[in-house]
Amino acid sequence: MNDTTGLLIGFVLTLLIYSYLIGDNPIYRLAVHILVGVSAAYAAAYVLRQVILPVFAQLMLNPFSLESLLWLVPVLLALLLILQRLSRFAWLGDNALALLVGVGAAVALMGAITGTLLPQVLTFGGQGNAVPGPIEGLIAAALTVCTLLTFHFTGKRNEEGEWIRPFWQRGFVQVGQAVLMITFGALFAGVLSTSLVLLTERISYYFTQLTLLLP
Amino acid sequence: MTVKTICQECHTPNPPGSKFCSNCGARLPKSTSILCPRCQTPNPSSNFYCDKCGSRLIKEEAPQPSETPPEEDLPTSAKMFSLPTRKPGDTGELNADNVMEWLKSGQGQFEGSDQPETGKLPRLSDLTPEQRGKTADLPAWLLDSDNEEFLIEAPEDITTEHFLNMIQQIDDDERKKLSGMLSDPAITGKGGKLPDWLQDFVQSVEEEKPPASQPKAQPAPALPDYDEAENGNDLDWLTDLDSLDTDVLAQPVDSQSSTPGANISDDIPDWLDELEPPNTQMLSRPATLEDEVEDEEFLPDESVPDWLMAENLPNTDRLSEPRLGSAVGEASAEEEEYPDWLISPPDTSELELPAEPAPVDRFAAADAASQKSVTDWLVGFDDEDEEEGEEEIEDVYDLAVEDTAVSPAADETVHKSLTDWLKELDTGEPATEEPADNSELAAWLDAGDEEADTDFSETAKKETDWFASLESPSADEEAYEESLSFGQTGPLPDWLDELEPADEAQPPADQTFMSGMLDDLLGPSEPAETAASADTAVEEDDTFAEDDEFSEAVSPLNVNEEPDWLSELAAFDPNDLVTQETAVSPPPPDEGELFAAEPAAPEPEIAATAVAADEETDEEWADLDEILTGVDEEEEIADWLEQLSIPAEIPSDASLLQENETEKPLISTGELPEWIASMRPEETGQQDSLLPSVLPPEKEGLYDIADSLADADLPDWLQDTDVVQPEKTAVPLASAELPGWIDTDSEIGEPSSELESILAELPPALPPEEMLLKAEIPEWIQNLKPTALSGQPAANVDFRLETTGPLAGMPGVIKVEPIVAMPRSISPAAQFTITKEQQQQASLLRQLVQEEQQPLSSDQATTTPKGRQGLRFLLALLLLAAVGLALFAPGGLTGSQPASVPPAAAAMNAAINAAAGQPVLVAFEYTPAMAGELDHEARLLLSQLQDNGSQIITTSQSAAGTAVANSLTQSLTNPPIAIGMLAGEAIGLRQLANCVGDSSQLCRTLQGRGLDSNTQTALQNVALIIVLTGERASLINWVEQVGATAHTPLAAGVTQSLSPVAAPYYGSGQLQGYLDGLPAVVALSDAYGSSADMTQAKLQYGAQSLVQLAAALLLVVGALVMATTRKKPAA
Repeated sequence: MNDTTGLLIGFVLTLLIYSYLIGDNPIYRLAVHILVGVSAAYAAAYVLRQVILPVFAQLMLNPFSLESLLWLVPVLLALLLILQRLSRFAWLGDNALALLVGVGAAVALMGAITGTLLPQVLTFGGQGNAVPGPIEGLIAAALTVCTLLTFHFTGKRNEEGEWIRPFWQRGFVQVGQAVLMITFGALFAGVLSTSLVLLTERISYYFTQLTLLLP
Repeated sequence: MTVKTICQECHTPNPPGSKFCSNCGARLPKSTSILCPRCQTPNPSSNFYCDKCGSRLIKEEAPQPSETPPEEDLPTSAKMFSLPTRKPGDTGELNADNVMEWLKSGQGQFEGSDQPETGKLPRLSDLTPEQRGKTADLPAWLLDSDNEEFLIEAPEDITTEHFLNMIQQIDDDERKKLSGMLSDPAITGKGGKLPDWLQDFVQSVEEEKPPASQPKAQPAPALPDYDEAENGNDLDWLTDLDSLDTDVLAQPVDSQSSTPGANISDDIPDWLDELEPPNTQMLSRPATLEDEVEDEEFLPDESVPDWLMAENLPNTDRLSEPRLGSAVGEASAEEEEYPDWLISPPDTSELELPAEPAPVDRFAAADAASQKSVTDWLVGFDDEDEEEGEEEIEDVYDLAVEDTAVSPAADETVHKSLTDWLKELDTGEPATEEPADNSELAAWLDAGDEEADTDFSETAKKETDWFASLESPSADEEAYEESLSFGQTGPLPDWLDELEPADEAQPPADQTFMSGMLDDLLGPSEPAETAASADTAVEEDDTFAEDDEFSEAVSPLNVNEEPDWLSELAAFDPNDLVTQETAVSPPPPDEGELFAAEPAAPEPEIAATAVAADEETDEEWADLDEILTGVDEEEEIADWLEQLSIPAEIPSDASLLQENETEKPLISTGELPEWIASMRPEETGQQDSLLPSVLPPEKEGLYDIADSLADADLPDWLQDTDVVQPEKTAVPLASAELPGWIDTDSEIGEPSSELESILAELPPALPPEEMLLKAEIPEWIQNLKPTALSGQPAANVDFRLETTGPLAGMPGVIKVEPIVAMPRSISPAAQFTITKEQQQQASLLRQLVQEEQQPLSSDQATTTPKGRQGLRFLLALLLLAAVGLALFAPGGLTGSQPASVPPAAAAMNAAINAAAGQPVLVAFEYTPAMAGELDHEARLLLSQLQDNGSQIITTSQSAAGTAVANSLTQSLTNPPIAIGMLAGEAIGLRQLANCVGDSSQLCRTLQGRGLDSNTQTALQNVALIIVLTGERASLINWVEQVGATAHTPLAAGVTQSLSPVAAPYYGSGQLQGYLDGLPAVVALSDAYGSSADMTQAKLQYGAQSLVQLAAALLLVVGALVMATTRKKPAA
């Protein structure tokens, strides 16, 4: 019974989402609001139950232990961070927010360097599972440079005051723009493919399940 | 548009914000730019928004309140119909400081008390005495009442209906009282009108009153017929009130009244009309009152004194005709009204003696039947005991209607205590029997009463006075006497309170004219206190007809007892009054004789003018002097006095006058009361006072008659008097009493010694020509100098005559310049310098404007919304058809299989097999939205892991992922180990990486959660990490944070769209393998087999292929259509 109810509710919500075919309409927005609301509520409840409460339970279990004392720091920072929403006391959460952003940025940066940049560079050096050939490497490198140059905006202004790229950059920038276009196209194709797959899966699922419900 | 900075040296435009010229290197002036508050970017001053970040540079100004246009700018029509306005807050004359704080703040006035709800008045019971505030304005009945029930609760909604309901709910007695109060002009105010809803109430109460039953008293005895023909002329003003029914004067007029006097209001004398509407309640007839009392009809408590409401009301029969009495009796049920002058104390400040002593005559000529009508009601004034009188006075205001019953004894005493003059009116004899302790009533009233009893009992039958209205309906003396209960009446009005018995002493010798005249009016023996009567008499000049016979019939009034106010007047010394230095215009002759003489201040002007009085004038006034000095009444009365006594316009009353010949004249030329005599102006001279002077000094003649009145005809009663026209001769200045500082000895122009000394000190006066500086006259003014003065020949002036226009015929007309018609020439210097850039911008703006104005052509116009919507539906149908075809097509398309297993999928399979029997960490980093594609991968992997005997450890960085993990691992035989949610994204993964792999230290806790030993061991021995995700960031984080840190193989199961992201990582060796969508899943499952059911996956894979093919075809077709249909933009 619960499965059937869930099935029907899901089917209705699916139709509400697909009503976007006729344009933005209230029922579509209703379905979107339900999705966002349920997701946020579930996440909040789960976080509260699985993350926050166990921490406090641990603190209550051994309040004077070292770990418990150490937990006071993040708890205090969390409270200060919550005060960020109050304009009067927002200045209290500035340090906590700075710590959070700083640590996150540092971790992300290290990961990007050690996890992406260096390995990718080393791959072209002959390490990895799929070591590309030298031509592929060069092309990849060139295309990468061109793409990076596309985002380089250092230049001069002409007599009319317009900003212009240096002459030698113009070709690479165009190549890089082409690479960007292809990349974005590929990404778009992948998104479209995924969407079609999901559409197919939904139709197949509901067709199958509803067929089972039929006597 | 960017404003450039122009170099002053080479005129090269430089970008804004440049400090040095880009061409010559010269230092550029500091540009006046606006720094963006957000990004600190200098922007041209003309910018409103920052060029870099788009933040607003100039603060938005609040729209100024539109000021009201001045009146000058308003069109004429608006001016005509515009009303004076007041600005908000301008309260005009209202002083804001005087406004109470509670009114300003809107807070309740009673802050301390329990404030009622907003908008509702506090209840009286809730208020403390302090909060009740000043009670000066509150009526006594509200303050003194201890009965809380008597207090009316403040209504919440002050509406008419509320008060009407209140009125309806009260008792009948209260209603009657209220009705009476509302009818009382003293309460409603002079001329005040009640609102309609209150008038209705009053009328309803009156209608409810049962008709006043006939008084139980016996009918009044037959009064002597009052010969109207004989006596009517004497009391003209009384005659006018002959048939007057005071009910008519009452307001509201009772419509039920059918008395002849109902329409008497038209005949009311003017002086009576000017009076306030009488309060009938106060002076109701006794019988009427009795009936009313018995009927418990409402009478105003405060307005009608008890003594008036008592049964023994004065017998006014002698003042009213029997017929009137009967008429009144018919109207017994009606309330009777009396003039206010009778009610209110006379205004002594403007005391005016009656011109004629007719009132007394009238009283004498009044009907005997009305004898008691006057006296009786005033009986209450006289009391044998002052205490009783005082009590009565007090009781009057209580309006003890029920306490009107008076013992016969008291009635008699009261009757005996009538005012003397009224008794004289009744009896025609001086009321010498009056007790001396009659302090309440005026002596003159008693005297008149007694006299009237004797004089009018037989002859006077006609009611000619307002006293007729006082008569009871039954006109029964005995009834009146019995009914009247003055002994128990309430307190008297103030003015009656003052009716203290006058001193027994004779009026002083220097009694004023007033006193003397009143003596003549009221009788020689008693101090004639006829002020009250005189007031009424003064109002009506017609009553004082010239009739000597009538004067003889006038019986003097008993003035032994005079009220206090009269006694005060007697004691009043006009000389004590403030005198005015300025000349006071003498009163007109007719009034001058009536005015209470006040010795005016000696004024030289008046004295000068008064010098002209001749002996004849003295002789004229000599009569009055004799009167003032107590001339024997046997002496000849002055003509004007005689004339005063006889009304001239009452021929019908001639008979009355004749009959009254035998009666004693009211006005006696004998003794005047002291208080009147004292009012005589001093012989020393006229003195200005509050009371206008009556007589000039002996040596002085009459007052100067105003020029406007100099030639006016004198009234009849002054015809006989010799008005001496003062000689308008120039009075020498020396004869006048000039102030001392004015030296009149010297002629005008010759300064006195003091002035001479002062003038001597002054510098000598220069001639006017030397004193004035010669001014330089401009030439253009000099040119305008007439030729006659300048002596120069006239300039040649074009004196051509104008031939056309409105000035035709006039010479020297200046021609009209066609200023308006001539266009103004534009100087070349006003042209602007336009740069090339500005021209380009202008052209661009022009182009944009033109493009906006141009209607969109059908070729360039995009599809209508309906067209787009239809196209969208078409595409959707095509896709759905493709999906349906692919799903439900029998075999054909669904049988397609991938050609080979992708290497990444194969490597992943190998990694899974390598981790057989070891813990494998599976991260479900996708939501149910991506479950359609990743669930197949997850089932495949989980089935392989289970088949390999690997311990599965599930985790996720999202709450939904944990739910997905739970749903997918339910069917596993070996339950997985759920770590839970890993919050913190990259930081959380970094923490996990410390616990995973070949770490020497076990992680007992993970993000604050305690881990059991099994979990700790499993994490430490993880052989493979599989990440199932559809997001690029999640995949990258896992790769960067966990793959790089933990030395554990990492595999991924991603969507087909995420395959390009995973491929480099696979190529770099960071990923051991990956599955990218359904093709890999299907190929892997087909190649290596799986215990999981992959039917749906294969079916969807077939449908997906067809749908993707269809989508691709549609995209191509659309692109071709767009490419072919789009036109090149116009140049």
